[in-house]
Amino acid sequence: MKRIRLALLCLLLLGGTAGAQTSREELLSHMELTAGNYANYPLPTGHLTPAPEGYEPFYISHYGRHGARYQTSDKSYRRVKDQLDSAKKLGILTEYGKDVRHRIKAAAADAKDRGGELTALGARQHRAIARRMYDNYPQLLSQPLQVVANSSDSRRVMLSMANFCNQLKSLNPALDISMNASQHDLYYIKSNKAIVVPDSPTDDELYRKLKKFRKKMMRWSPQMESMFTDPGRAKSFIDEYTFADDLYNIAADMYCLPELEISFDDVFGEEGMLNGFRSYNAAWCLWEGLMPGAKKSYYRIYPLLQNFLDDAAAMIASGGSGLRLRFGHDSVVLPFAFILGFQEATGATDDMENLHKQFSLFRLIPMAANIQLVFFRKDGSDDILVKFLMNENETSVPLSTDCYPYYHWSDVEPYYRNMIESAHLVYQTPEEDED
Amino acid sequence: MKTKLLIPLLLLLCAGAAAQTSKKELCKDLGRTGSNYFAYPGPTQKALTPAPAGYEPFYISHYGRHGSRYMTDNKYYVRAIGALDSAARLGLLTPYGQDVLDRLQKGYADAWNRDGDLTALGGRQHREIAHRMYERFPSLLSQPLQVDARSSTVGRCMLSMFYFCQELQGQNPELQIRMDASKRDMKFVVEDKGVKPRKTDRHKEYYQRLEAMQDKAHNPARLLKTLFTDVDKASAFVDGPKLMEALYNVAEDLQNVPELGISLLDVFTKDELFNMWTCYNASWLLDCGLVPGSTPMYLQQKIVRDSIESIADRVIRDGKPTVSLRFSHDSSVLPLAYLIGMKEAQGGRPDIEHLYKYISIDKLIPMAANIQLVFYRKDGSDDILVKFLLNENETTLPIKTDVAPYYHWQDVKAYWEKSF
Repeated sequence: MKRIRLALLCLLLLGGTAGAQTSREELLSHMELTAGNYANYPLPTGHLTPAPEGYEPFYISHYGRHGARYQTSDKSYRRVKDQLDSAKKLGILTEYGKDVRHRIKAAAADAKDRGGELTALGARQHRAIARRMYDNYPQLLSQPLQVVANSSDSRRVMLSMANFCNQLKSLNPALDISMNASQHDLYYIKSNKAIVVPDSPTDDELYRKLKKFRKKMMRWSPQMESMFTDPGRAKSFIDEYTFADDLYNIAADMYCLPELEISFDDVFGEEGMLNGFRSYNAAWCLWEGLMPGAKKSYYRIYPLLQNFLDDAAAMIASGGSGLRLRFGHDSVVLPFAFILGFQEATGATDDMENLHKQFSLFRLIPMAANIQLVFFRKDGSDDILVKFLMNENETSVPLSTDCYPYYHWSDVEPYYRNMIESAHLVYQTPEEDED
Repeated sequence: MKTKLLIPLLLLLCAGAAAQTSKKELCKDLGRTGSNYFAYPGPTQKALTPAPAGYEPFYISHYGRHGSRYMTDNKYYVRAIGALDSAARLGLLTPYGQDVLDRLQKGYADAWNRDGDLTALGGRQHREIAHRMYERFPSLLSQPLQVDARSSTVGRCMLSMFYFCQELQGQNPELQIRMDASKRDMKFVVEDKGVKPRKTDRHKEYYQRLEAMQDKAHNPARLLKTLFTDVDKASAFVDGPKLMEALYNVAEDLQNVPELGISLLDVFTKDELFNMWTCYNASWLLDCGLVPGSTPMYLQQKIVRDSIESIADRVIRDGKPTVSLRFSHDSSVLPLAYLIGMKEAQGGRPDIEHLYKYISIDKLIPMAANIQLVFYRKDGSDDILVKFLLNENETTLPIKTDVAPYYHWQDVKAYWEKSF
């Protein structure tokens, strides 16, 4: 608990100086952020610019990733456990190695039959985000509002939605909240696999580069070597890269389970955790097509953008007020932040060694990551303003405005509609769902 | 003293009356012929029997089926539309047949990509049940309780849990509700399919008789004449009994999507509906093992009943008021009602052709069906009373009690101990 509180405090400081730049020093003083997309949701800075005179919020449109979760499968536990068991049988585990093995067994026992499930922290994260949403926009959310919520069909996402909505309901029992999690809506809630991603001639080369980079980042730390009395013999049946990668994932997921009070950061040391973070930071950037020269897989997120635009247009036309909630995955939040043009998600280069300095996963897709568009209107005016929030912090999009961080919807809407149109999306029945 | 004798007698009499559904009752509410598609009717009992003086509720253990849902598979729509659509192309549809096809297509357009999803009505059912629970037990539920809710891992059950919990949360913002749907908990939430009771000697015979019943009930001769101008020609590509089965399923499930404003029950006569219903009724009761000599599949649900008991014991020991909620399926509620000893699930007879006279599942497992155990205690006494609600109506167990419909928990435990 102490550790969490301290982390939150530090994050507040970090958030304050944020921008999108990350220095080595910052990371070293906030090791919890090296968990990347496993990182505990960093508290927002709390700085919100008041709306221009006379403008009132009337609509919030939101997309959020599920909260903290268990690893989606137990394969890394299984592999590491088997390998350490073999080492033990061969008598080549040091006392330190035996200690790591015990911790692995305890963490694996806790995770048994819980692959991919939301943790208690995950539920708390969503309740806290809902609570802050209410506190930031009480004039809107204390009304007997209609709330439309839907989620992907994955259980951790559904439970995130339920916790978010229950928190809102406890703050305002007059809310009329509908919740859904249907196949019917997955075409925009998840990456739409029916959309054809055009080939990129440089994609293969980037993946080769990434593979090399990841191998380099996942080299064994001195601590890992010290788990074995004879590391050379251990490496005869343990694949170095897979072992380190599995352990990094386990170490990172421990940030989702603070109650367990187990850590594996010591296995990597500061440098090792930083390298693990850099490995996944570059990988995610490439996977989602955010690196220059990569395949534009973010095309598959355009249906979500379309859904945001259409729902907003309908709400504006109706003259009413409301709240629209969507719950999904990191594989959507990240490319969605990119196509929206958020400063945190843009400007990546293929310099993988230094990428984390301007592109950092923990600013984008920690557990419970979310994007909110908050709409404002003014009595007697047709002008609609919109503000963009990345993980509840105000952010920018590549448009000019006379009232930053607010943008005129009349500039925003055509910009994004044109973006979708010029992508000339091609649909084709996917062979197999890749998820 | 005299009244004490009378009450058990009356209860016995009631037991017979309440558990079955007459043909007249079915015809009054045709939705009942939907068996497990029947949309939750709400409790018939408006006022519950007050607890004996001094007793206060301190724990509710609730076990509920998900609310109204779409069919779990689109096969019945595909089959029915396929048959009628082909006939339309060949000019073989009557105007009435065309009208049925139009309605089918409207229903299918709505159901597309929503296999097994909770419908809006399903959400409302759970909100209403939670709302009534709050209103019926305000002294308990207005406290800042910790509520533990668990659901099966199926989406419609989870959403049912969400709606239920959200309504409670709105009634009492102080409730601390923990929801989960974890693979780890499934043995306490749904029946354990790993338990495989040995097939009984009569198993085969019962199913042969059921098949004969089904063949007889799915006689499509009249139906086909209303749909097709030339039944012989249509029969080249239409399997009559299978079309009838498909139309039954679609027609009965439509009551769960009332917003659509479509009904298809008019394609059947009341007799046809009644006859098909008796088959579904018998089939459910056989599958669960509630017919003497049938395979006791209800044993798969014993772990759930045992866990309800042990968690109740723990709550009694701890003394802290609370609520447990579980959300599951029809195939779990039915055996649980039986294992608890609820009168509505008892009395099955080998005469499966007339089983509906003894047990009828519209009383047991409509959409959002639920079982509630409400526990009471009294200051300065160790005595714990429990009351059983099936679909929010008080019901009875075959146990003697001096405070009906309340039972002494010790007596219930002793009965469970010896009964299975």
